[in-house]
Amino acid sequence: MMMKFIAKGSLAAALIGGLLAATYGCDQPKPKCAAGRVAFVGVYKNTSSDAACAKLKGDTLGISTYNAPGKEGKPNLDVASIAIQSESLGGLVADSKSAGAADKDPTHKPYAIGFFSTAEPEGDFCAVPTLTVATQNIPAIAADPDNKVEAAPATSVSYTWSNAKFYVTSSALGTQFTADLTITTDGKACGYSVLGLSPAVPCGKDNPASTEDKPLPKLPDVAACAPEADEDAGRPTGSGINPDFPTRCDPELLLCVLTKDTIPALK
Amino acid sequence: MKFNRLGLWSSASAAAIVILATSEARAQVGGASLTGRVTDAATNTPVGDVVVTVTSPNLQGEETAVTDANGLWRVQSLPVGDYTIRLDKESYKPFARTSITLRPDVTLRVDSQLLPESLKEEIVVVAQNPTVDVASSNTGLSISNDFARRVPVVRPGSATGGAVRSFEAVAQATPQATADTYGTSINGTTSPENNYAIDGLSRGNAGFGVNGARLSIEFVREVNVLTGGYMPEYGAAGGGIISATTKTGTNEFHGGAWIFASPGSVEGQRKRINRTGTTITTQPSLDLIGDVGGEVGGPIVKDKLWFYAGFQLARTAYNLDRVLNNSQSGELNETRRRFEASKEEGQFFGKLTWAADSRNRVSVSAYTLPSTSGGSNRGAIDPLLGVPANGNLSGTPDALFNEIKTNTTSVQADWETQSPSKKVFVKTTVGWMHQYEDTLGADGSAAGDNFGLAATPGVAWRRNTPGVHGIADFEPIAPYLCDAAGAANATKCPVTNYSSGGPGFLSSRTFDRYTARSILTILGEAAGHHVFKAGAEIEALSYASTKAYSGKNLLRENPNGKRFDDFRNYSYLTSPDSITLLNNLHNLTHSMTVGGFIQDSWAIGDKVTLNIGLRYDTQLMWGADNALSLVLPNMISPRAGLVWDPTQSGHSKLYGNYARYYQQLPLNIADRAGSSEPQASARRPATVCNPQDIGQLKGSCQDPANNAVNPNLGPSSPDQKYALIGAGKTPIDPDIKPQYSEELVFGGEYDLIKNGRIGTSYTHRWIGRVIEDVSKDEAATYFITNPGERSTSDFPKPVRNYDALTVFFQKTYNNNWELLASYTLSYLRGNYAGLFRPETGQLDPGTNSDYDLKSLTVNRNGPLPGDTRHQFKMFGSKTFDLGERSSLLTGGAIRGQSGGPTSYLGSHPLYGADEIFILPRGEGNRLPWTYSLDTTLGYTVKVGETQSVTVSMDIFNLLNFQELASRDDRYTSSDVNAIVGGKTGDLGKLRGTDGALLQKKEVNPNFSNPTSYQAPRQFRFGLRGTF
Repeated sequence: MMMKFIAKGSLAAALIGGLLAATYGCDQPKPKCAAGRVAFVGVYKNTSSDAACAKLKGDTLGISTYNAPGKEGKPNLDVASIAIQSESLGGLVADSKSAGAADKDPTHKPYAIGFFSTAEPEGDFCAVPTLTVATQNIPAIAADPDNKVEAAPATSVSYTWSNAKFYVTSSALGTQFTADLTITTDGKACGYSVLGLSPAVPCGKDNPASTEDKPLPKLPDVAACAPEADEDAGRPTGSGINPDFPTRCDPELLLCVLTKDTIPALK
Repeated sequence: MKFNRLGLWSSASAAAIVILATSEARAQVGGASLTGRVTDAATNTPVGDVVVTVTSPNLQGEETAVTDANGLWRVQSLPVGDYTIRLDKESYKPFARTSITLRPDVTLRVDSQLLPESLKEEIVVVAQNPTVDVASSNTGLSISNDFARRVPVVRPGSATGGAVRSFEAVAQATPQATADTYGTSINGTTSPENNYAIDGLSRGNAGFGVNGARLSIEFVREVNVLTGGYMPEYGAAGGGIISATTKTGTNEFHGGAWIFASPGSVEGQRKRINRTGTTITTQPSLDLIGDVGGEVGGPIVKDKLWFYAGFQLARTAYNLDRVLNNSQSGELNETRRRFEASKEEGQFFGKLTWAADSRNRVSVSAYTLPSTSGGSNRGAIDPLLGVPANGNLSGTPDALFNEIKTNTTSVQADWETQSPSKKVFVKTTVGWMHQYEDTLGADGSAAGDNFGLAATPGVAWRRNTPGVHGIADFEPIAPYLCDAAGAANATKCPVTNYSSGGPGFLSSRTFDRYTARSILTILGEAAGHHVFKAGAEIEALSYASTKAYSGKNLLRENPNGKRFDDFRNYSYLTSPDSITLLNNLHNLTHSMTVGGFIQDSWAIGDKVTLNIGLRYDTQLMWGADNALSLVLPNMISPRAGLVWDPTQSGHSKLYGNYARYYQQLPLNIADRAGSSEPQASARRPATVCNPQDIGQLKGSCQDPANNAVNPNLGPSSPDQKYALIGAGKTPIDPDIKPQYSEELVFGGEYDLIKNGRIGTSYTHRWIGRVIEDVSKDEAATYFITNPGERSTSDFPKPVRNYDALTVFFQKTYNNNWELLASYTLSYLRGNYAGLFRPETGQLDPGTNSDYDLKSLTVNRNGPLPGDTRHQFKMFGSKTFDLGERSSLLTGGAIRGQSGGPTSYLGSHPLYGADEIFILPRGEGNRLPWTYSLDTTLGYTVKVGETQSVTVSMDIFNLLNFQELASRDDRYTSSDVNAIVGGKTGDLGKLRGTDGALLQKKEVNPNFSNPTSYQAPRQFRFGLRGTF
């Protein structure tokens, strides 16, 4: 009886072990689709025929990830959306608000919203194919010298984002992305392909030749992009950029950007 | 012993007993063995066919063996106890050896000489009982219930013991064990890394790894502490094994009742802990720690069915004396107020043991350990620390006090069966443990309730600019004591931190542990004796947590006093600035571990024992979304040891052992990181939110319309008011591997005197791999990985090196006395303490802050908090017989240990206080040595055949030493940059994260001041009747 029991026992243990292995394998769960949580630098590459559009080299982009409500009121981690807002448009809104001349239409938002098409990355990528259009119609601002407000004409700006694609792995959680963008300013449209990196790290240093009388623009400082801290150089913490990412200091944006044009951009 | 010609038994009677024994039921399986070699005293040649009979009060019936041609014999699978061995063979005089003490799982070799009947001359055989375990290469200590009664090892209300005197508390008598925040640290590991077991089943808390079943030592027969070198049958632990065997009924009725009390009125003077710069001080003192209980065990059907049952009721009570202090005139006696912090608990234990036949034995046991603590105007006792949960009462009772209810219920069934040949044993155990711990509001309202204190938000006040608050801002106080509310009040009676409103964090947690295991033991012979074991185990854990902040939100005052921010809540955003506040966050997480082992203890030619084996485990975890959250596959732990007895007579051994230990991870990682803990924070101006007004606290302070724009978010953020703090699940590195440590042990033991041995051991244990969460981008995103490996190879590799040299002497209780003395010299260095962070008390196994950010890892290498260099422990007892009917017991414990390291800690801009090592870890002055002398005095009177009454008095810390036990390591509360590799002389160069040199006023005035002293002298009076 006992030997039978032992045989049964070992068989059961082997079966359960085998079943677990077969059911779940040894693969870790994939991360959920999400965008990096700190503001991005977006490098704009002009895709329109108008060469003037190429003047705009990039911007700082705020991207937040949201979840739909799920069971027990908790967030449903399988349904995620993002909102993208550029510093230029956000700044315009802030300035206009402080001047008391904000866009009155509550349906106009400074951000674009879109849903991830999948809950988890497919081949390390999460896509947001379509997004709402970010639009602001700012009325003309009258000069108010008492409150240091300068006069500005009415302006209408819209950002149309599409085909956003984030690189999402456990060790790089949505901190690189590419997207198509059309910015329409007062009826004039410019198309860009955007390459984003989070976090947006400033990398300008003062030009030693710069004087108060004759100020010179800042110089690029690639050291500021280093993920390693260098206290002697006045950087007690690293840049916060994933050390696996190759970066350089963009001399025009004076922000750290990826050295490659496609994602994943890895060393 | 002296052998005389009369002998103790005639061979005829011995033979009769042998025959009797075979017809008796005997199926109680233990792990200990007796072996030996029988030789002819005249010729010194081996004697075969000697009948060896082994008896013990703890053994149902007897065990027999017959010597082989080499004179060798072996009896295995014996329970612990005191044994007598008889040797019988025709033409030889019978011979007996008594008082051989078997500890759990040991193998003692008892060599004996027989005198031929024909021998004319007188030969005196001097035999010494062995105590050296010649088959095992492990280190540790086994402690019987009797030892704990005779020797004062469990201090009243100690963190591990509590008023119930839990079994785990005795573990600290073990040479390589020290106390840590949450229990007993073994071989330099942290207490949650231990495996706590009762009757073979793991009883660790499923969520956090600490001991989950604090069963009283009263219901325990033996505690076996394995510190290292243990075989694959023990696993799932990176620390030690603390394993209790509960009592069982026997054929005789036995029982007793007891009452113990440690009154606070005779407690030694406690040294005051002074705090610089705060008006409110609270001095704790003991009121009463006591327990009363009873037990009884005996036969229901003789030789067939036995029972054992016991109960215990215990109470812990402290006084918290709160008084306000005027910075100019001192203590304001008019404001003195006494609060009580107390806890009541009970323990109920029962066990049935059934010997179905001579080969099958079944036992079923159950216990439940409820407790309740704290409540309205009453402080709680911290369920893990055993001391009042509130330190300084800087707040209102409703904000500070909680009601805490806990219970652990366990049921288990064991079935032991053996083959007719008594060569094959199978022990199968199934068990379930259910545990809950509810932290409620003082009014009893629970996490998520929308009434009472659970529905009132808590508030943390902490203004420092332009000046701190005064006490009159919070409590009515006569103006002549501290001036009226305002600047003068704040100068005379400053309050830097204050809690008001509701209680803040509340939780209800339940833990379940289902285990099934089966162990097969085969005794074989092939080039020596083998004890072969194989086993399989399945363990399913679950952890249901309901967490909430009272009133859905905990507010915190900005240091400038101008606004109140959401400090803690459970919430998430569904679109820009659109928040969903959760009433509570409920997560149900699971883990399953499937494991097995094979091992062989091979006494090669009965000269050298080779212990070799392998353990395999796989652990899977599921998050609250029922999706797999972590896979820890293929944990293969090899173990190998060699034991050699140079005397070849059972009186000595030299041994060495290598082992790899994998750590089972508690479910907290799946509950917190694997299930998402979302939080969002908004801020609102004090002009629209005055949290002192309960109406505003629940109204305008919570109204999203009052939220201000957070300029830190910047113009690019789609959210202008809410900052996201927590987010979704923390992703797992696809190449993550399980956490393990490795160990080498070498040692030797020698029987120095009768029942007494000396020994020494050297242990080297090091961490091989760690699981922790890491952020490669300075807190923007996290993932769970093995720090220092693969994509985090730029992080420091986790290091924890423990080296210890122990020497000990142990004389087992015999001839009315016993002694256990040990000295351990140890070094513990590295950057990884273990499953909790001793500096901050953070207990988040697998997701502590150690490797969160690269900026946190600076200066972390050094002597770890458990680096207690020197440890001296001596425990002893002696019983004096005072005539026929009474005896006097004297027992004592002397302990001394050198102080641990201290550090210079600063604040990290993201992680807050005490997370920056300003100077390398351990650069502060070491704490001083601490000593204690504990004594026991007991007087026992026999009042009948088997009845006796004992009155006893234990005195702990007899000399009332009040040496400081910890210091304030917080050098500054300001955010600072570490001085890499710096020395104390470099502190002048310390800079804040803003780049400015640290100003003198930013240095914590309380730095390096004592924060705790040794527990004072305490008495424990006891009365015990037994039958």
